[in-house]
Formats: sequence, C-alpha cells, structure tokens
Amino acid sequence: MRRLALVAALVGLGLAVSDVAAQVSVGVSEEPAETEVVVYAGRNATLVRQQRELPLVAGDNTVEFRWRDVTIDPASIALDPGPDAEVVSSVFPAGLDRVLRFTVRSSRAGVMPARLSYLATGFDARVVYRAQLAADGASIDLVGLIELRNSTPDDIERARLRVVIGDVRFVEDVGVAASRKLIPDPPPPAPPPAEPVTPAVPPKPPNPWELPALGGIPPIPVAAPQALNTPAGGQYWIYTVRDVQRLVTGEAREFEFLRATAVPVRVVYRINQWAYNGQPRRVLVVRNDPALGLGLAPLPGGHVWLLAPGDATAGPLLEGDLAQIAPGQEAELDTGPSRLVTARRTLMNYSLASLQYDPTGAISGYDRQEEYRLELRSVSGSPVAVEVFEDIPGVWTLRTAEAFSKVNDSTVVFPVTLAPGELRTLSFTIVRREGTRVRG
Amino acid sequence: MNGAARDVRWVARVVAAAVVALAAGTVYASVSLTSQAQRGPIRLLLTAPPRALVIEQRTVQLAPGPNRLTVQWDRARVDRASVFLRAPEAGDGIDLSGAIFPRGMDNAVCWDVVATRAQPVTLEALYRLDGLTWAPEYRIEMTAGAEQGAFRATALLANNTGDDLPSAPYFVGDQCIGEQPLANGETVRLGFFERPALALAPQTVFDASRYGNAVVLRARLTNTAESGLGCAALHRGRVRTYLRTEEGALALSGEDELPDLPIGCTADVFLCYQDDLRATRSELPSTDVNVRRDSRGRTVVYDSDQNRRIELENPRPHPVAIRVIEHADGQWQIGRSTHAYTRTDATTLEFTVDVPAAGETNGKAVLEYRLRRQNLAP
Repeated sequence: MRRLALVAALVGLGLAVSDVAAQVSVGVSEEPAETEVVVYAGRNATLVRQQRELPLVAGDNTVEFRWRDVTIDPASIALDPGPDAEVVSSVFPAGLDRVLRFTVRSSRAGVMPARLSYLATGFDARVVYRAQLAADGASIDLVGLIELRNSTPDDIERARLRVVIGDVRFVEDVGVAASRKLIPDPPPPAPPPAEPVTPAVPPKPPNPWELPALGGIPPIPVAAPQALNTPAGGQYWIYTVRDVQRLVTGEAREFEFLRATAVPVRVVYRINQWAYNGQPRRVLVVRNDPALGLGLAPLPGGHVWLLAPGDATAGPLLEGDLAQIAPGQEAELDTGPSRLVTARRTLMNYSLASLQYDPTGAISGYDRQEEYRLELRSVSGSPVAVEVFEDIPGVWTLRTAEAFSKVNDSTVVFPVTLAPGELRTLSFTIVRREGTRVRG
Repeated sequence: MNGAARDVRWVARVVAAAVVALAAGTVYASVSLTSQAQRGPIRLLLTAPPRALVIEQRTVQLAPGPNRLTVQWDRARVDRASVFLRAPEAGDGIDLSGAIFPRGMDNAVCWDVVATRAQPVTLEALYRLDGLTWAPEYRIEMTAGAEQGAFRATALLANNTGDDLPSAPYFVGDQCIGEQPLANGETVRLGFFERPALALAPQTVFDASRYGNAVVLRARLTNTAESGLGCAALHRGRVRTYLRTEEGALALSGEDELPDLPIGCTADVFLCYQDDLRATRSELPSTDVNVRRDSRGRTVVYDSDQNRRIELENPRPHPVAIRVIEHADGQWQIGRSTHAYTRTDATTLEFTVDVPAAGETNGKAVLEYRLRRQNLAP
C-alpha cells in the first residue's frame, strides 16, 4: 500500500551544463514534511499543497518535478522555494512527458523549505444531511456530513484535509486540462473557397459584446491560494476535516461538520401548476439562525435524507435537495408530493374581450380572460399553511377577492391557511393583454 | 431454497466486522450478529408506487471501545446512499452519523461506534431496495343494479432485487397486508383493502369524446368514510369491474384507470357499457355569424353557430336519467337549448336528460342545443 506521494516526486536532476549550477536530489521515496489536500466539492478538482525541504546551493539549481498515475493540470503546478530563493524559470522539456523542470536561484546554500502546489483530480466531496422530523412536525434534528471519496491510486494518511464548498470558477475540468496540450493547437485554416465570392454585404464589424469561444482562452489559474483564507461568509468556505487518520484509495467516508437538534421548521404545502403539475408538495422551511441551534457560517447546500415517521402516504424516508443558506436566511427543502393537501385547478371560462382594430380594420390587440377555480382540501388533523403559486407571463391583471401578493412581474402567490378537513375554493380571473392597442 | 440459506443471504446483515487494523493502534471489536440469532423484525413498507422501503431491526452486542458496524448485502440491489441506520432506544450514547463506504465493497456501509461499556443496542436500518416494486390494483364486483359492489384493493409486489426475500410483513401505511417469502423474480398479489358493499353511486353517462356513441355506466367513488372508504389515500392503479349475472356467473365488464384519490376526493370510474341504451349524436353544419372584416373586405374575426342534436333511446320499462357530457373549446356560449346545462369547466358542459320508459313517446328523448363559438380567427 502506497502512502500519499500523491504525486510523484520532486526529483533533482544534475545538469551537464557546467555554468548552471548545482545538482539537487530529492529522493522519490522521501515523504513531504507536510501535505494539505483541499477538495473542491462537486468540481472534480483538488488542490494539493506539499512542503518539501530542498537542499540548494547558492546560485542556480535545477529541480525537476515528475508525476505519474495521477491526473494533474500541468499549468497549475507552482513551486515556492521560500524567502531566500526564487524560481527564475520553469520548463516543460521537449520529448519528456509529465515533467516540469524549475530553475531555482538561491541566495545562499542550505536546506530551504519549499512549497509545491498543483491541481489534481481523484477526490470528490459532497454534502449530505441526515435529518429526523419530530413527531409534531415542528422541528428537525439535523446532522450535516461531508462525504469525501478518494479515487486516487494512493491512500491518504496523516494529511490535512480541507473541503471547499461553494462557488469557485473553473474554466474547464481539471481532468480535461491535464489531458490536453498546454497551449491548444490553433484551428486548422479554412479551405480556400472554390471560386472567389464577392460578399454581398460589407463585413460585419466586431461585436464588442460577443465573447470569444472558450477553446481559444488559455488556461486561467484558479483562485489564488491566499483566497482560501477568505473568512466564512464569502462566496465559498472551507471545512477542515478533523481526526482523519486514513482514507484509503477507493473508500468514501462521511465526516460530520454540523449537528443541531430541535431546529424549528415551518411546513408549507406548495402548489404550482407549472412546476409540479399542480400536485401539492410538502416543503420544510429552515432558517440558518444561530439562535435556533445552527452555526454562524453559511449552511452549504446538499442532499437531504429525511426520516419523517408518521407520514403514511409518502413513507418515512424522504429525500430532497437543500440550497445553501446564508446566516439569517431561510431555505426550503422540498420533500416531495403530499396527499395531506389536495388541489384541483379548473379553467372555468375563457373569453376574448376588448378587441382592438388598427386603421385597416385588422385586429391589433385584445384581452384574453381566463377564469379559474381552485379547490383546496386538507385532510390533515391540524391547520396547514398552503401557498398557491400562479405564473402569469406577459402583461396581465388579476381580478380576485382573495388575498395575494406579487412575487415578481410574472408570479403571484395566494397564501391560504386551511383548518383540519377544510375545503376552500379560490376564484380568480387572469386578464392578459395581447397585441398592441391604440386606445387604452 | 431452504430457510437456513435464506437467512444467511437475506438482504442486509448487520454485522460487526472482524478485527481490522484500519489505522495504526486502533482495534475494532468483533461481533458476529448472525451467530447471535438475535434478529429483530423486518418490515417492507410499500410507499408511493412503485417504491418500497425495507425497515430492519437488529440487536447487536457492542464491546467496550471502538466497534465497526456493517450493513452488508449480497446480491440485492440496495440504494447505498439511502441506508439510514439509527439506534432509536440508545439516546445520545451511540453516534451513528459518519458512514464509511469501504473500498471494493459496493455492497456495504459501515459505521464506527465507540461504546463506553459492553452493551446491547437495538439498531434500525432503513433502506431502499431497487427492484422491489409494487403497483396497486382494484376490483369492483357489481351486484345487480350496480348500486353497490364489493371493492377490493390488491398490491402486486414484484421482487427483482437479485435476492430472495424471507418471510416478512408487508405494510401499506400502518396496515400489515401480509407476510410471506418472495423469491427473486417472483411476483405476488396481496389484498390490502376490502369493502364488501361499497356504495358505487352509479351514473348513466353519454360522453361521445370518451366513449364514442356508447352509453356507459360509471361509478362515482368518493374517498370518504361516509361512502365506505376514507381510511387512506388510494394510489393510481387499474380498476377491473366484474358483473355477476343472474345465473351466478362472473364476467369482466370493463377496465379503467383510477387516478390518485386522496382522502376526500372523488373520481369517476367506468363500470360497463349500457348496450341497450342507444344514442345518436349529430352536428349540423356551422354558420358564420357576426363576421368582422377589415378595410379590404377580408374576414378578421367571426362567430360560428352550430346546432347539435343527441337522440337517446331507452328500451327499458323504466325511465333512465342520462348525464350527457359535451365539449367545446375556445370562447363559447349556448344559444337555445332543450335542456338546462351546467358549465363544469371551460371546455365541458353537462346536461341531464330524462329518457322515458319504452312505450312512452317510444322511449326517446332528444337533446338539441345551439353552440356559438365566438371570436374565431379565419
């Protein structure tokens, strides 16, 4: 079983060129003094940082980095030789695959603590929550877990593991970057036209708003390492996995990062004709509030397995996805369809009105009126909160005696509270303005 | 297959792994549940079709110090991510939060548990079992007159998990519907709900868009306690209706799909054709009216009048009330009509036509109405 060399090795190479300096040799089996593995959840990217001790002589030294069995984005490899030395050049030698050669200029002789970092693939992480709904449905016990999977050919041992959850921009997949040329070949020249063609229209001026094709963009280094110190509350955040003694190759483990008990939840039955075909869905609303037992940090989004005893219609094991929740904010967990509330939406009448004619007598616009009746029924033994969402694109007005609020320019919501066993009918008319109109 | 072999291979065995030095200096306790024979109950819960859930309880003896608990299965296709292990009676003493998915073992999930003392712990594992699926089926056996019928709900349960299931109780909601072994590849039918005399509230219906020119008998099922149901939501499934003849023979009279029927809701279900009742429906050519034209004389919008006629014949010695369901799309109005109508939604209108018994006006009734479709584009 191999230890985390994860990466090959720093191998010193004696150069035959006499005026370039010293030979440095770091053995393949020599372990790094310290290794940190930062896994970007869901991005197939891992930042590996190793501390090595380099015996350097004063002047120029050549240090060679080779790797095999692992997938590394070569453009991401960086060497920081410490305060008394600097990298003056780094070369991918011709004819050699998976080799990077650094020329390190040192101001003095001695063993220098150097830091090596690179982006690799083979680790993945995802957030999983396991929750249990209280019998009264008013609170949940929540356990947050990071599932870390090691798909590299090496075992992790005594490494510092961190997991980054959140938005980090990658131009391309690290695995793709590792497998292609550092600088992509230019596209082949277009074949000459069979016969000269005179353009019928002058060439189009370049559009300043048009983005170049992604393939033409050289690889962009990922977020600078110091950005990893961004405090919680930024665009992404870091979890340090504690007590990891070993994560062998091919294994996945869940590490707990959050445990909160009796977190109050609000249960809402949501009906959206367009999103769920009108079938009511039970949604748990959770607030990331320190006063409620959660942390000060944002709550990362993840997959939730919810144990909800007593829900005979949906079964006791539900699942859903939770979006990330900033501190103080609410997020919703859709636990799927529910039969405790039923909804029947019926278009009762359809008509055109206020026909508008243009000067030639053709119809230029009209109002389209749709009368709806929505029957809501609760078979729950306790009062339930229901939210009925209506998506209404275009220019419209809504005529109804019911209370509603406008969510955005094309969505309204009717908040309704149903008593146990109550049947409630909502009636509303949507008037859409179509076409153009000269008057009114 | 004999029972002993089944015990060994059954779906999920909660075992403590043999002593494994997984990390330097850590020794995990070794407990063999299979030899303790302290198996608790296994339940199969049929949730929203076609999914089924397995709930399995085991009691394990924990040793002081670290223990590794492994939920492992042989050939069954367990949804590994769904495995939910808990110790419902252990309180906070047992932490089962961090699962381990071991290398090379796609059929196992482990938990490392540290016990302060030797103690027995009852564990409950919930998991989804791919290949264990079910579908509800319903059967109505009408009595003469179709006023009521024997209603029976059954569950078709198929085991394609790759493994044989031992004898375990099957639950729909809180109700146990049976207990029997189910071999791999086998499908079993279990009855889970029965009402010997369910009120069918039959209706004689003519709906040309759905049944052509036939008059049919439909039952109106209401999922309430008053109608004999109301104990649970009925899942969508096939309904087969049987008719017992006067000679005592039983014949299939038709099939239909029962939609999802939550408590309190109503659905109409086909029972049988009423071949003796005849309906003849005709639509006369439509006439354009209220034509609006542009300055060049071209039609820009118009209305259309159409007369519709439905002649119903009843050879029976007693009158029959037939619910006639008609449809129209777009914007419409009813002009003159021989019968009152009800607009049930934007595209449906309904009439109730009383057809006299044979001998009275030849047992015929005629429904005529004029449909005006408005604001049509050419």
